[in-house]
Amino acid sequence: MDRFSQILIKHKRQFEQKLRQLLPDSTSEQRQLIIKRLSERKRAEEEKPPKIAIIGQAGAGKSSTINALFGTSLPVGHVGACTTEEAELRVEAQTVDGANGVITVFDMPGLGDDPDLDCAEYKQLYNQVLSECDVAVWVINAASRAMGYDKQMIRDVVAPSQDQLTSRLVIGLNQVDLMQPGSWFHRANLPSKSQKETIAKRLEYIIELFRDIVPGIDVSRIIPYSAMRGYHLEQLFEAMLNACDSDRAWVLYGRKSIEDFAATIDPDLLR
Amino acid sequence: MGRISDDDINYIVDEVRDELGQLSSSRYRQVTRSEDSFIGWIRNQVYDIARSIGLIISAPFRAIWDAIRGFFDGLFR
Repeated sequence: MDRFSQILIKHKRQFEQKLRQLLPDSTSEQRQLIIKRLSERKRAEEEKPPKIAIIGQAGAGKSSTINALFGTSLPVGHVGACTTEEAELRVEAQTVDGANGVITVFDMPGLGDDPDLDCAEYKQLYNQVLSECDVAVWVINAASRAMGYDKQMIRDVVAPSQDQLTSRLVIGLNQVDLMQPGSWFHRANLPSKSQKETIAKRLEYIIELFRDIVPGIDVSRIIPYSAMRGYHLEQLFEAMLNACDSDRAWVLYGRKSIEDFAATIDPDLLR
Repeated sequence: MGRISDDDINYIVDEVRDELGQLSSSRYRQVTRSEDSFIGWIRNQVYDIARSIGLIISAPFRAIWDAIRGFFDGLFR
């Protein structure tokens, strides 16, 4: 029996008393029925995998990000099973086992991946998938100077739809460990002073870029991190929880599996 | 590998301390948000189930919930 049901059984009387306060017109049978159904709904909700849309260019580190957050084993650079909702819309979706349960990943096609789709179709596709998702993570390779794809996607697909796409969006600047001057402190698993400055400048640039094109965007959800190093994954996950619908945040949280950052630091530095 | 300067060592020590502090705050906010979300989910479900079995919500549901919410916080935190 799950913990929730155990608690409900153990505190059933008190629970029912509170329900009577809340629902003074209810009978005892009705209150017991509410407790029973609540328990059933909890189980059903837990069984629904959190749905995560992942957006970004090839090589940005989409799969490695999901793997680092949930303990999944998506092959890096994978091609997922294709599902076709409608003839002209194709989204690659995969339901994968994580360390704490299943999650569903929608691997969103990038603009231009399918030359037969025009911008309106991309927008429709993104709207459709993101409306079903708990959260969308847009992964950008922080070390790359090639921002053309991301700019075009923001301008043509995200900006015109405003809140529909932006409310669930988290932007991850991955691979900050590879940013110039490439002097990552491995023992502390942290950027060097000069690297930290480069990261800060890059973040500032990305914030301005997004804010200019999508004024409603929540810039606190733009997170520099490294999936490979396990750096700032907690901050990325926190941004995801904040982007997630309030009724589903606890389900998403239950699937979290992030390596303890302190374990990646040389113990001598922690003394 | 070259020798790490004293400046670098001080920087690393400060950064590690800062990172661990941020990490701890971040985890605290995650837990709080997740627990709040769960209690909110229970409230919404109770409301929904009550209506689905034909109960008319006559009392100020939200205000009473806020008054008794501490009980649920205590049970599930």
